Amino acid sequence: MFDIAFTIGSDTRYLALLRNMVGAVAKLAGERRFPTTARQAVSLALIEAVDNAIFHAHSRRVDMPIAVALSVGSGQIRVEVEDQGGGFKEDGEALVPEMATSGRGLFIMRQVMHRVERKTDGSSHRVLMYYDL
Amino acid sequence: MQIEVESKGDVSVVHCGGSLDADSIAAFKKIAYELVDKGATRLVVDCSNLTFVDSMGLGVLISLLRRVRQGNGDVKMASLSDDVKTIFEITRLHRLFEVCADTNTAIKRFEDNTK
Repeated sequence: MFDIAFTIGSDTRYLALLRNMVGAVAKLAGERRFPTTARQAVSLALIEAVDNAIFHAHSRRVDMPIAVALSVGSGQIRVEVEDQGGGFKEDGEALVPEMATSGRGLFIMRQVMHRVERKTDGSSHRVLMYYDL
Repeated sequence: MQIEVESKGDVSVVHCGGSLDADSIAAFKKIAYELVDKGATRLVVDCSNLTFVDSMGLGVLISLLRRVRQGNGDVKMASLSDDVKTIFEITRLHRLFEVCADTNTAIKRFEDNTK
């Protein structure tokens, strides 16, 4: 079992750090516990969730914290992203029209991860994403 | 993200390296839109060194496509890695953009379309 958790500001400059973190965790865990296919999926889903937090939940206010957690367990990788927003209505089940320039983030998360859950209590919003091995 | 523009005849090749994501889309947009404002109607986005695209990166590519098509032009994608190709297929954008194996093929497709 391997867990890592930290908090970042709502700043897109952290995105590269997050991708590098996923790569480093994957390397540490090894191909059997964190295969290459999972690394790509987890990186993308994590970035999409953080993008949502930065732009939609926090309106790019860099002082607003985003909590990120990554867990590698036996048979499953879990990613959590928590922001201080109130959540949003879209469920990401359907794809937006092809010429739309936004609105694909949640859909992508649902496509690359095996399960996506969202929990909100009005003052915070958590996205939990699972990749089953 | 590293961006370099190369002119090959009347085709502008935008070589992208690194990640096209929420942090780099402003830089990409500035360079790409400047090309269009200067009259470029045939653009190829060379993705041979592009390692990551998020949904915001996809959005800026679509914005560019919309802008170029207003001038009866087109944007073709070239040399997509497996990861980037997967994102295009998941979001079905491989149906919106012509995706070519490499830059030379994309340029030739523009030439073929002229004939």
